[in-house]
Amino acid sequence: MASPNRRLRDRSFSPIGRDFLSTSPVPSIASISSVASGTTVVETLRSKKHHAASHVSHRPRRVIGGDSFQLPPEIPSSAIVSQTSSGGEESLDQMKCPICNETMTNLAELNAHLDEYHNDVGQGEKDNMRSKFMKYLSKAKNFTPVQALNQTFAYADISDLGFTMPLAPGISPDTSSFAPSNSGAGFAGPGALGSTSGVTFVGPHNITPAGGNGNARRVTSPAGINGSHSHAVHQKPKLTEESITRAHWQRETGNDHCSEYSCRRLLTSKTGKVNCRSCGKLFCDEHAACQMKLNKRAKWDPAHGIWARVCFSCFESRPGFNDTSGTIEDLSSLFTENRRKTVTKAHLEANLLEKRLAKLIKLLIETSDPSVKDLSMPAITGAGASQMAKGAAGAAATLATGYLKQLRNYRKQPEQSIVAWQDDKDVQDCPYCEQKFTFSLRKHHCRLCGKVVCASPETMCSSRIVLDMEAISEYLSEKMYEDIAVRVRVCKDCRAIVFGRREFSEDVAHKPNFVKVYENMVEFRRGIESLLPRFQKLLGNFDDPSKPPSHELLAEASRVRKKLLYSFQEYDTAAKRIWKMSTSSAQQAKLQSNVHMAAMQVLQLYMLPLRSLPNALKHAQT
Amino acid sequence: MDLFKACQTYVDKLLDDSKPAARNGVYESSGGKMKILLLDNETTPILSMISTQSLLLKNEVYLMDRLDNSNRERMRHLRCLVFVRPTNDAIQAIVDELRDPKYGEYELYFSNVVKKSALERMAEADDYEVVKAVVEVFADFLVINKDLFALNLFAPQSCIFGDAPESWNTRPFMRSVEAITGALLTLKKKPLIRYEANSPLAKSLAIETLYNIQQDPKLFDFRKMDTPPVLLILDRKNDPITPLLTPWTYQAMVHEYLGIRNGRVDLSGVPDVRADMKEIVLSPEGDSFYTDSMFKNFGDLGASIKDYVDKYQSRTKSNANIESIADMKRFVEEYPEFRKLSGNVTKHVTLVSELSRRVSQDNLLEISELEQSLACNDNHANDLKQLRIFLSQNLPDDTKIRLVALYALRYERSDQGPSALPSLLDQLSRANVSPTRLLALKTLLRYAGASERQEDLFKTDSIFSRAQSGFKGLQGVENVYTQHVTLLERTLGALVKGRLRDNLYPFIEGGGSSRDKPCDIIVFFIGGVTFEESKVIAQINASTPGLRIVVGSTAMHNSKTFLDEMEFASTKWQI
Repeated sequence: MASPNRRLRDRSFSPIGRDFLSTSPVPSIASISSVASGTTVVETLRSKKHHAASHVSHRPRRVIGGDSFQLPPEIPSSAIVSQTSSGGEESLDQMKCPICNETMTNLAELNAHLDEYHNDVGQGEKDNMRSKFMKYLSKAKNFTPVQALNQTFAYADISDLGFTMPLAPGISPDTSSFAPSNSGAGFAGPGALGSTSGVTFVGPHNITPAGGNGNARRVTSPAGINGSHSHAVHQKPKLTEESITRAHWQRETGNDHCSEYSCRRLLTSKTGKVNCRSCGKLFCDEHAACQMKLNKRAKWDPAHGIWARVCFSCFESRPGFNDTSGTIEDLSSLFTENRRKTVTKAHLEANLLEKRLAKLIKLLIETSDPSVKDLSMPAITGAGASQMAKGAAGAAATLATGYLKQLRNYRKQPEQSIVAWQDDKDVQDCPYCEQKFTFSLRKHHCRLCGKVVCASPETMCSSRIVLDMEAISEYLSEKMYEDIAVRVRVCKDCRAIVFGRREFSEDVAHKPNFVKVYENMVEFRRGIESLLPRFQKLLGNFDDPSKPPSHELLAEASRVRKKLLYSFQEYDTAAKRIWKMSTSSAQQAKLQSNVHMAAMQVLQLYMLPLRSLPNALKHAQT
Repeated sequence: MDLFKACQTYVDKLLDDSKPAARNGVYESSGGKMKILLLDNETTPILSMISTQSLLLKNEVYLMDRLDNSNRERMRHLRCLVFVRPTNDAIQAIVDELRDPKYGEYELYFSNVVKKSALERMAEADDYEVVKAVVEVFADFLVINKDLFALNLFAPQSCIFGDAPESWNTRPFMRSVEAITGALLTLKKKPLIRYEANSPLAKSLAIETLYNIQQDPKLFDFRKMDTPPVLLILDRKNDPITPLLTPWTYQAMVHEYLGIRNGRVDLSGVPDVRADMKEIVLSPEGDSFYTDSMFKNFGDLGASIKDYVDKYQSRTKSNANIESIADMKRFVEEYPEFRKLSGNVTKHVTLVSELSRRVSQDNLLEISELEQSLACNDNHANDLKQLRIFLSQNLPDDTKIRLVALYALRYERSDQGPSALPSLLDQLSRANVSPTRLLALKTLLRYAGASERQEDLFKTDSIFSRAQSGFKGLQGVENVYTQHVTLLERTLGALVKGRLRDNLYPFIEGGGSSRDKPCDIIVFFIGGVTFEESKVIAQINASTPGLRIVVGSTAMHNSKTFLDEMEFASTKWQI
């Protein structure tokens, strides 16, 4: 073996001894936790020449490692500082082989012994270990203290490590190049830190019992070694239930009762006596029967925690546990987004046709009265067109028939200039109702799209919309057009495109009498709902028999009651009115009777407290 | 994991008038807009299980109709709420409706995931911009108890089986997947999926469910708990015994003898029934007597109904005793509640007395004793003797069929074999049992015979194994009529202890697995579940803190519907 290794071994072997596991100056919890955390890597780089490193944590492993590793000399010594430690000083005098437990007199003898008897690691395994070790080293190089600390304390709880600040004061002052190992247990108890001057203490108990027994099989098994290596370096410490803090536990007094509200029985050995690991209170066995994952701070941590026994209320109070609401997925905005395209397209079409219509009207007006040639046609805006629709729906035009004939002659040509008319010959059937055109079913042209359609009054494939000039007369300078109406034939589709939306919204906005009464009724209900709480608050004043309510209170209460009674009456009347309204439609009738039924339910619900007032008043007076 | 509570949020959402109203207060005000609610043939029962007429009325829903009813009148002063399953038909109906809106505005609620293309189609049709909201809620199943949901997949319309017992009928298959997906979303669970290894039906359902979950990872992004929940997919064929046994708990008995369909019980066949009791609503929501006693056995039920009647009588007495004005006032004030109580008392008394009549008329106690003996003990000679006696008596055909089926299933693998089966069948046909019903019996043996089951149903009959399920408080009083322990109970017992065998109940590939003991479990039964099993679930839930189980199924079976299913399947499978 190469000399650096030998040297390395000389330096690092000192702590190994018989009593390595025996005594520990560290408080027991820390000791348990660090044993539990299994393996801790300890790097020793305290070589005077600053180019050797050693790996102390697992004695057997390290020994083997020392035998088989060729350490690269370029490893910066400052990268890793390892502190060897000992549970007892006597280990320096006497040592045993960690594998077979044979007692050795000095280090040289032990090394010779190891080389001779335990050098049975196969070449492949050596390579394996070597590459693992190299990987680990290069990883370790990259750790800055802060990174390492962050990594450590992300998972481990500080209090469990025995001190509250990441850098405990006990860390020896001479470790200027200190870089903590990335394992939580690498920081050991402050007591230990203080006790060993010069040699900084790193948990001695981080050696697993198996290692302490010098189990040769385990040492030579590459799996074991690799596992330990990677564990020590890459993984956070393994938690057990013992590593969860117990600082908050309720102390046993010998006269404890189960903290479960419904139980409260005296805790004996028969009932069991268990601390909930989460809230710390004492429970009987039965009421601490749940399990959840806790971290070292005894807080719920489903990702990194470990199973621990808890009471039901802690179990239940985990966020999300009692989430009783079902999933609701609101697609409204997605829908609106999709709809925008449709609506934009519809608006565009409507705009186009509206423009045509405006142009048409302008032309018609100009041609109908040649005297106003210079009249500038107002741009028909959306609002203007809406008014036109109103005209189309409502106003009847008064138009002299002679004038109309005259108009017709004037019209044809300008009409066709707006949109090309479809040739009559191309169309045999109406495109909407698919009836054949005959002598009685005449062909007509839609003035907006030019299509040939029928004008059957039953199918309404096309209709003449009457545009009330009055509606746009504000744009006209002369009074003379007031009474002129312009009629334009349009097909079903165009009509829907130009006027459909407006007709629809007007229809929705139009309130039948029934709706007005209903809204009235709802207003009364709102009134009742706002008055009732006030009234009940007033009633509350009458409850105490020893304190008769003041006169003002009584007056106030009866005033509110009067108001309420009035509202109830009105509400009832409105409901009855709706009920009795005559209608020809069965569905409407059902609607009305259901409105009435619901109103009766509301009355039943709200009238009850009102009844109790006379009692209360009487009671208050006596 | 309370389905009623979870679905309540859906009803709230549906009835919510975006106006901020004090929804939890007693005096809630709503928008002042009359509403119509449009449903389809499946959402009608779904909604009726989680809501009531008066709740709808209170929230100004004054009309209800079917979306596919084309004779609806134009009423533009109404707001229209649509709650439908997102089927192609429904989407098309909505598209047609939007092109020519009958109502002033629309809110669309779907009971499951709406395809993107469907959403686009509807958006395209909405020229008038009448749609104010599009929402997915996931109540895609009937909530029967707070821990039980089901579908109505019954033969002949929706037989779940394809051409063989090993294959699905496509529509019911998709429906089941949707129901499971809906239930998972309602309960907010993204589970690991396990299934019964011997059931191709369970496996394909597991695969499809997993696929559905993975399709929508955003939807299924729930808070992670300590252990992942488990979806356990079971097949009825592994336990054909439970639906054949006479049940002895209230809810199960009502379903067995009267039939509960969508929360309603048809009593028109009951002799001397009052006119207003011909059809009754039976739901644990808002009926505290039923909630308390639905899982009680018949004996305990008798005691509690007596208490209930006594309570009612004392109320009646105090009401009859009206001497002063104060008494009158009190009476008037208490009258609505009193009337409700009186209605409820009448309802349950009617039910219980009918059950009691059936018990004595059909000789159920003795029959049940034999059934239990068949299911739980190995006593071939005695059982056979008793069985022959019953077959010679004047009993309903289905009772005889059930007994023979139990005998055949029980002794199929025993040393003697079901040696007497041919002669029993012969005896049945001589007793004029319909040949198709006999065929149903044979189909049952083909469907769920010993070679089709993966575990020995009858091995647990020893005292030792009876303790196996290990749920505390479930054993109760040893009762000769309720000895049988369902396979479900044993399976769940193993599952919560983390001892369910991986080879019999594997995790679905690609869906993850875990060694941890699950706390939240959703069981889905292919081929129907019984109220007896739902009782087991309810009792486990009540007695084991921290463990929450919900069970779902393709159908709520009683012995009749189970045999009907087999009878219909026999025409499909050519056995």
